Amino acid sequence: MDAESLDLLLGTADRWFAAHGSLASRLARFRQGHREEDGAWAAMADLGWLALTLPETQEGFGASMAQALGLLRAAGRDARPEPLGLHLLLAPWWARQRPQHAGALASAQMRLALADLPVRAGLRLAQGHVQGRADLVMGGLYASHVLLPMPDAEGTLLCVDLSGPGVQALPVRLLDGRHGVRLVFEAAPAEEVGVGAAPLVRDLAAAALVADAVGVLEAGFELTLAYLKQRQQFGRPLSDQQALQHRMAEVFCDLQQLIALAGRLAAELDAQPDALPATLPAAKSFVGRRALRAMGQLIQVSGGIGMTEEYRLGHLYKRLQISATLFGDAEHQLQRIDVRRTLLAA
Amino acid sequence: MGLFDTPELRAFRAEVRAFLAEHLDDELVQATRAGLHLPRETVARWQAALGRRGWGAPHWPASAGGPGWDEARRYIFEEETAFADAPLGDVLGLFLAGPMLIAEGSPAQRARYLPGILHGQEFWCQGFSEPNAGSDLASLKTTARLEGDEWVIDGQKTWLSGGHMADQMFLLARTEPLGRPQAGLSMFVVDMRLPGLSLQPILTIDEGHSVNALFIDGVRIPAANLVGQRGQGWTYAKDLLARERVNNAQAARTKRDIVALEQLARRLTDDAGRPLADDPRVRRRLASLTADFIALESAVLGVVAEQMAGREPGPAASTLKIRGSELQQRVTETAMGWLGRAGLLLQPGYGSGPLDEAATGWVERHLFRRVVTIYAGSNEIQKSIIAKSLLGM
Repeated sequence: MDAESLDLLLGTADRWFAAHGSLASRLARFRQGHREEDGAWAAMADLGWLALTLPETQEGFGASMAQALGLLRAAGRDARPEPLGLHLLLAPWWARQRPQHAGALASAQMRLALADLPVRAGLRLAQGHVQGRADLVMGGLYASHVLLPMPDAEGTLLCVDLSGPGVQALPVRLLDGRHGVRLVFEAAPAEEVGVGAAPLVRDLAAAALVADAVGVLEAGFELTLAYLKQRQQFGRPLSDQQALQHRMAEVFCDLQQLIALAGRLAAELDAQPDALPATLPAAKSFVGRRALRAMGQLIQVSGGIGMTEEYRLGHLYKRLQISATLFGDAEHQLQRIDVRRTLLAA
Repeated sequence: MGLFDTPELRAFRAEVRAFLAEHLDDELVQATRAGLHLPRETVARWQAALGRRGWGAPHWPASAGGPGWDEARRYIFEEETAFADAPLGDVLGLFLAGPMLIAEGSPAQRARYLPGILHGQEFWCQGFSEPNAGSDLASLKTTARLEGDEWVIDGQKTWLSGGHMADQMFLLARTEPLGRPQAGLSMFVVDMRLPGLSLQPILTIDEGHSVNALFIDGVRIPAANLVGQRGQGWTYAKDLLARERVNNAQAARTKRDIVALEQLARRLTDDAGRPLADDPRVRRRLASLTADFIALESAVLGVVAEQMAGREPGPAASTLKIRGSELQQRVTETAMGWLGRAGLLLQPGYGSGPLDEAATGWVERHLFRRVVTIYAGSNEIQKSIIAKSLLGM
């Protein structure tokens, strides 16, 4: 995708997000739940977003992951409930496994969800049918299919058609109010998708969360910066206080590093789409170790308003907590980092 | 237990335990464990039981209705009630309004208000912060003007913890429009049922309702509701906030939380099915929280001893507030990290808490506790107090 088309698309995205329930306007309704907008998937398909990362040979736009990052950052900034990141990261991979599904992915007929299962989850596969439950399913509310990384050494990945028999969906909310489902499978027909695929799709989902975290931290940072410049205490703006200036400078450092990590991660995914991205453990653990603390600091310097439900900051903090935890939290990702291999590889 | 290991104090602890065993029923315990913001009836019922025993306000002087304990007994009491999961009383009445009235109120005011606090009959809230006066409390705009034998009050207040359950409010208002911002403030007691007051709930990020905004439109109170001297409100407020900071350390409740955290570590398992408590990193984390707690507790006991000897805590209390609030946050942050996915799943209904029982209480506390480094004078304000008042910087 050329740079001009991408700019055009991102411009459209900002306008579309603003027109279809900005975060500020949606917050007022969060007590009733943070649901995906009706028709959002169809609209995103019409805008071409769902085909963005599909290759041109499959009627897609052939955007790189580095380019898709811009859209994901915008979606994160607006804390969209639709799991666009998961779609953009998984779609090209899925279209390589199942070329016949490319059109359905682009048109939103096929919407993928991914379960984050503990290693010891009680899912069992017998004669092509799965039994057990998945509590945390990213994108589960409006999905047509769910991918289940099985808790085995081979990295088996299953795909279950959610409109098929043996699937029950129970309502649940995430920490930030997003609606989701817990899935219970009773002899649900399941298709095996390539042995060894589970670690890769988990890392792709984790990469989507890193991209989302960039937008979330950026939105929180900008909101707070504007507030500190406007809020007067002791006869001058809070932004004149050196203690707060230093705190904001530190958050800015964290934000810049997170942006850089996400960019590097995207470049790795573009270079080797089927390999586990080397930067993922560092980037994902950064979300849990630094970005989350930075967001807590933003609440601190904002004062009481940062504690209120009607202000965006607390919501962004909770969303970041989710991104930090799912598909490998900081502790888990740190354990994956082999110091010598990471530092001496080149 | 070294510090409190004398025959007298062991006997006292046993006495407190016996009282708790008899009066703290399961309903009170369950409410305290499950909820962050307890309903008034729960708090009132427990406070009434304490009041009947003469233990309604352990930190008050005996002349005002306190039990006449020393700091060790007071701390043991706090510890035992925390470990038994007894409800916290009406903090605003017990720790803020009560001591302020004891220090500055008239005999008539003390006689009118203190018994209601001791026995859980009247609840209090604080009318200090305003939309444009948070950290900068001295710049508040709410006014009180004397008309005959009544004060007429106009303005707006915010962050009223428990305002929706309160009968009385202590209020800081400007009585003299000229001069230094700090100089023209006075302290009043305002009945929350008076016409002209309208409350608006403020929901917080834990999906709970504990704070409120208040609009004050021509509210008339008797002249006798002025506390102490006219124009001395700032001094009274500073003393009140310093006393509050000692309580803000919440040492005994934090101790209880760390013990609960250790239990959580034994209950949760890692991916291989081993208890988290067997992981050396988890044990180290618990140990460092415990060591930091002991440091906090030591400092708290020192300041409480000063208080029991009749001296105001002053700026040193800021150290307790800073370290106590930070530790509270670290404890729940640790819990969230260990809970992982279980800390992210909530019941379908708004405000109905986590799905997994192991996460109950932790998630709400983790979110709500972002406030402990902000309220009662943000930690940035506390650091400025230390730098200016103690370090001469």
